[in-house]
Amino acid sequence: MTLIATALCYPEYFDLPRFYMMVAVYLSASFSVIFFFLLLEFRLKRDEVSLKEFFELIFKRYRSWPNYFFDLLTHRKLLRDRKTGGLSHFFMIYALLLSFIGTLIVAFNQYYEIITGSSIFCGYFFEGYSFILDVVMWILFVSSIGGLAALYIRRNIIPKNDIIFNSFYLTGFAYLAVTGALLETFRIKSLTIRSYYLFNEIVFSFIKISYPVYLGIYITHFELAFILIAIIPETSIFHSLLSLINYLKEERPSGELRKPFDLKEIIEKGTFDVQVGINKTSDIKGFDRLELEACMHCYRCQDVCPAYAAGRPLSPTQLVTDLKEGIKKDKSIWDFIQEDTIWSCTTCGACVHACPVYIRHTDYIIDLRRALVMNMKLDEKKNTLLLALSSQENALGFPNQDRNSWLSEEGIKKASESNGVDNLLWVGCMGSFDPEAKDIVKNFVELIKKAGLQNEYAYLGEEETCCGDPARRLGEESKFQDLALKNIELFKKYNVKNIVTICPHGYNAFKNEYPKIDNWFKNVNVKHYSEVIQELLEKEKIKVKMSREVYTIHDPCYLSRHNDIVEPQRFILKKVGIIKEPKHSGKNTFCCGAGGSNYWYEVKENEKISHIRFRELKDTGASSIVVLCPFCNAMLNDASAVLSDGKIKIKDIAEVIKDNLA
Amino acid sequence: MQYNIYVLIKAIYEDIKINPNTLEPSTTGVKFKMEDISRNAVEEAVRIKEKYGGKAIGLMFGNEQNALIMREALAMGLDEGIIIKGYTINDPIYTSRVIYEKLKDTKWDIIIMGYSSADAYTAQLAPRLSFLFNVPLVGNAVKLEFNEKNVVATKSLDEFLVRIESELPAVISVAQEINTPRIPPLLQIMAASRKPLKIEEAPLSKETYYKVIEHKAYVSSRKKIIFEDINKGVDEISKVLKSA
Repeated sequence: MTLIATALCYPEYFDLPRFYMMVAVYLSASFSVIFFFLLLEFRLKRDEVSLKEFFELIFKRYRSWPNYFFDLLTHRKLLRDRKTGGLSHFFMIYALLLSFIGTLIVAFNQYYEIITGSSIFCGYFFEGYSFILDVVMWILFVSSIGGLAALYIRRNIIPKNDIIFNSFYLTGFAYLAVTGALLETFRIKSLTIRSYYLFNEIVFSFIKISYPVYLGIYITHFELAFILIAIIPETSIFHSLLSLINYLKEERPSGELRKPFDLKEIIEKGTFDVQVGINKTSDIKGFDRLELEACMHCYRCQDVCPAYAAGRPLSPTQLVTDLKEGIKKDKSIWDFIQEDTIWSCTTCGACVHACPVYIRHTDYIIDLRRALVMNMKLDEKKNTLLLALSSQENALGFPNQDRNSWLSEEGIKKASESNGVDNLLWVGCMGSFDPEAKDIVKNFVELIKKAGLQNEYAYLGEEETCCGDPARRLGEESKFQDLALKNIELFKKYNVKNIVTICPHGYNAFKNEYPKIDNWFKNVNVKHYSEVIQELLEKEKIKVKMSREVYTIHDPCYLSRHNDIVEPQRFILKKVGIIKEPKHSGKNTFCCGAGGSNYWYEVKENEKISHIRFRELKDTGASSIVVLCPFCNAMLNDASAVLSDGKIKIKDIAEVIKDNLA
Repeated sequence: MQYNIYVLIKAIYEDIKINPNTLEPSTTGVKFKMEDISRNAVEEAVRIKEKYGGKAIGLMFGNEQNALIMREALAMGLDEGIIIKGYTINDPIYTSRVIYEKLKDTKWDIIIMGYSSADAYTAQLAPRLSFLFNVPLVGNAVKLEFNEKNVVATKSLDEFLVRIESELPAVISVAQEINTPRIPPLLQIMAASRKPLKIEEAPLSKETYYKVIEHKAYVSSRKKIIFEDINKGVDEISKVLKSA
């Protein structure tokens, strides 16, 4: 290997009529760009989105770009649940990106040369980047072929249109890779240079390229590249842009549902004719249609869906596919989607967090439920919940008389008897009426008393109702807002500053949803009791002793996945024992089966979701399953009654700390 | 064939608090709700209307504050609501006379109601109305089918189902098993405020057929005998039971 003495530069339009080639390339490039935008406009028009709205969204939400590009460049989401496919996509994106950068360098070099008469894409820079592209070519080729193979394997579960376009692009990428390398080989051979291109030279040395072939390859190479760019909006590759749109279009945390109307405004104006929910495909509008079109049928959402795992009639992938196909014609949703598909969902959000193109499956599911509620098409169990919420204003249907009055005996004042409320203990429907959940509250109150802080807390008693989460997730938005408005009035009356909840569902409703009902609520600080216990331990208000007990944690979806609260429970348990994590933990937890109002009704299934989860937790070999939610507590206790061998106990985190007080 | 339907709706107290000292029920501040089987009657009326056409009107002998309950029934699908003011106490004789006065000059095909109400359980109103109007009584229906001027009702007896056919007009009472009533969301109840709702004075002055001596809650007092020694338990229990 000898290094070239005089710096070698990139031979632009090597051996080709430079002027004509430039004209051809730039004309094609211009056509490609113009065609791309025309097609984009045409495509968007079908979903009643204008080009202006599309780009306005992209540019107005520029603050979210870094996070989106962080996800894209790390391929965090694609790699999380599937390594092979994720890596293939990762390599392909990087190969395309590096090739694109190569093209930009070449273009820049060309203008520089025209202006100054000298090249900068020379020497080590040129040779180094050439080498990178030689490697990239192989990566692009292999990942394209791999992609084609994957498409072939999954041919029965991906819509035909997507297969056609994906195959076209993948074949195109492979062609670009090979022809790129062939063009390089031709130039190198003609210039009789050796060295850096060793690998490609060996591979391609047996190929003799005649000039006409060279010319043909050259033209097809750049023309194909331009065609592939131009037709993006009408192909499945549009997902590349739509994923950005999906990321930018919603700024809500995953735990917060959409607010289809403002009840207060409706009451004030008396305008009751609002479109609520999705009844027919034409009710899905604009960006929500585009959101569906981003789906590439990777099935990551189905793989993580607890309802699917339990054999319920819901596959989030199939739902999105059905809706995506359905919106092509205006028809009733219920012609192609079963009601029980919609009720199967626990709104755990696993699908939303798994989706690499940021589809929010639960938004559609809730909107479909809202339509069923508006049409009054619920079964008896769901109706019972609605009746309980309207008559007793709590989810369990108990009278609120003397609700939680036992707390007064523990030294916690009633809000109506105290002067302003610093910390409101929101006991919740379960904490108030479910005997086991009541124990959670009792244990937590004991910790507060141990820390001597009982005077700083107050409770609402019979004034406490429901936070509204079950109503909202069942699809009864008006009842949710009605309850929220009443509760906020109550909080205002007592000048509540902090709310502590036992239940992650109340926590989520207060934290993410109440501020959208009334701005005043933004001043209220919401805490989950696990955060309070962490504080008590950190400030050494309570002391615990270490034991040899092995704990496993069941993270509640509405605490850990939707609200990112993962650390407090681990901080707490590390102080009293050893933690063994289950397969699904932290933000990637697996639902207990109660969320999304599922606690109140049943859906046909092969196996209970709570049983699947219980088994997984039991398999850690831990002696205790630690729960942080009254609903998870109830679900896992039920599962345990059927599946337990008596060796594993279910304990609430407050109980664990109370039992280990020093 | 379209039917003119009147559905009778009762408003009852949600939960009555019992004063632990006097054992008297206290109704201050207690909300009203739609009586449970009335809800089934409303549902059935709406279903008949949806299937055969016609008009379904809700009729309540109640008070002004029960308008929200009537609105709920309107949200379920009734066309109109009428509240006759002046209800004070459960009295099927007076109630039936009030309803008869109200409807005697009106053309109707069906009066439908719950067979009995969840607060008093007298089950008298339907037969009394049937008598006053001199039309057939179709009682305790668990299934209804209509065929021009006839109704075919299935009623449930303990061990059999009986099918009866009757001419219309008729007074029909339904059992709770007849359907699962739809529950309107709050927004629909609010929207139903645009449907006509008339509040009228009672067509008859107050009549009293009952004298209330007192209202008192029943107190169950158990003897609470506790046996500590399990081995002797059976003997001891049988002794106590024999002596009782």
